Amino acid sequence: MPTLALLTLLLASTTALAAPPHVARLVGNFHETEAVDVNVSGSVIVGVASASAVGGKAVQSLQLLHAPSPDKRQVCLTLQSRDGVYYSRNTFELPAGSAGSVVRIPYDRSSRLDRLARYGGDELAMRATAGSCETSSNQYYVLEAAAAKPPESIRVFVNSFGATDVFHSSGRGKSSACTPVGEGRRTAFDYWCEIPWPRGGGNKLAVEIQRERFGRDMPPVSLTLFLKSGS
Amino acid sequence: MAAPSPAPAAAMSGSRWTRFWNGCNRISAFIVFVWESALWLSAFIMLPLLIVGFIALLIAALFFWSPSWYYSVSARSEAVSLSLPAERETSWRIEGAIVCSTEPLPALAPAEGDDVPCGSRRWLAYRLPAGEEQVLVLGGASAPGSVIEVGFETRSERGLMVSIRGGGDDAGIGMLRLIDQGSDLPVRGQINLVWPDAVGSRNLVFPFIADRVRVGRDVTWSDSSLLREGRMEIFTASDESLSKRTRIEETELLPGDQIRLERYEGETPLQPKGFLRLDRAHAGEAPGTLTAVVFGRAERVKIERFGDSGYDFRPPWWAGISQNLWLVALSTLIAGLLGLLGGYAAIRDIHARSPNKAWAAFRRPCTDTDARASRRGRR
Repeated sequence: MPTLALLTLLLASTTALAAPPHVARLVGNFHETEAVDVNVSGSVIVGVASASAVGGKAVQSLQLLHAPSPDKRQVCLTLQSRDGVYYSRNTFELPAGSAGSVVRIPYDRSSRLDRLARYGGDELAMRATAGSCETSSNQYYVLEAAAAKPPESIRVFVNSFGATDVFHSSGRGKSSACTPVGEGRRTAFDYWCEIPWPRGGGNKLAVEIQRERFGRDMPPVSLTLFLKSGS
Repeated sequence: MAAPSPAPAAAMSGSRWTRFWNGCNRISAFIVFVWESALWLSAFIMLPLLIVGFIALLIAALFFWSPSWYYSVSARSEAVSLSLPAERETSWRIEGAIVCSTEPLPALAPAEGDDVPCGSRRWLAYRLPAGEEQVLVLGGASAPGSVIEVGFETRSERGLMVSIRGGGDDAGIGMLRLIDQGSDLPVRGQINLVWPDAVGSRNLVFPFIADRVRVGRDVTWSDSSLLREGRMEIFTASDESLSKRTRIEETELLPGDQIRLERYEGETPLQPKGFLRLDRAHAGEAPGTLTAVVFGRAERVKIERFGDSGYDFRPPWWAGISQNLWLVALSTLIAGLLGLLGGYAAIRDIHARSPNKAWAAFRRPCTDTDARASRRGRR
């Protein structure tokens, strides 16, 4: 009898890990484009996701590490392929009472999941900013594909706009170099920065992306990352 | 003495001619036999065999025997980037440049003043000794697989900026050879070379053998450096032409295009090679453009164009067939044989309907008509 109870408990906990109880709701119509005419404009920060949630296959199990005390319950999810061909931008509403929890982002309205799955780890950038897509924000949620354990690092995809060097710094740490994307087309982004997941820190992490063009400083970009509580 | 009788002579002459004609008939019959046999063999054995061989070669040429395609890019661009293999030495003369380094270069004089273009504090600026020869030797390290990333970008007043990045922050990327002083300075970390303008400077040439070459840059709203114009050609090796190569296809490059040539990983790997030249003698064009000439081998080269996802520039499907000498020879043989047989058949047909027979055919209805007319008259 105690064995049965233990098994039931184990099963229940596994199920809880596999499927987060909270699911975000799409606001309005789903919008995505896949066009030969590529999108060549954009912002410096193109993607923010856990290092294990990169690539096209991750969109089918997309989860968001919800901020413990979010200002807004809406998030703007943007996906952009490095070659600029695929682009989607949609507002999702997080369920009430999900603060501090993992929330699943259903990306099942897409008609191009098969093609998305072909994008490799450095070919698709995803970002979720606080607020609806009508507003701009420098506050980013960290997207994750499997939230069973805290991620090791966060990957920020950067469109350097012609920079020769890109660095990132977070907290009081010294700057570290970001990695240039050497192969393929680099229309949407051309660098990615690997930020170690802060252990025992607060609920937010301030990150600065610095860029240089042949030694000359380009304007830095500041962003705030919402972290999973208790990690 | 009696005159010789003509009869034996005539008999002898007749037998000789008879023998001759008899023999000649046999010879001519034999020739006709051989000819007819050759025709039969050509029509029913050789021609089908040639056609089968042609089809087999055609399939092989389409699917298995791809010729070697060589791409040649000639362009004027404001931005070019190279990935140089670290194990190969690449030497460039860099007189007149201001060297911006993240690591100290104690043998060089620091550059000071407001006009120093090195930028932020992490960069140390140095001037190279004037009137001396300096050579930057990149690579040559025993680090197989690692690359040195080099970016070229022109600036106003025919200046040039070059960024050189090794594998790590303190990794060695080569050495600066001060020829007149006979000394070599190890170069570590990252360096930028800046030629602020064209004043008192020579033209610059940068030959290279690279793992990857990118000519031009993606067009974005924040960057104005791009490819201005150019041309790309596809060649294949050929023993027929004096230059040992034949041009297959050619395309013009539009402003804003971006071309990437990469190391060919075939049975015999081949790295793209070429040179960049900045002609600084002619003023008036600002910023100047790098003349980029690159030669490499590839199955296809993608031209990335503003506002579209790019397209593959590759030889047409029939180019592999037209460049296959065996296929060309076989098709010529088949065409020749078909022509010969067709011509012979036509001549024989014409001969079969000779003018005599045609006349006889023409005459035959007239005779019958005449006969019928005469019969009617007699009645």
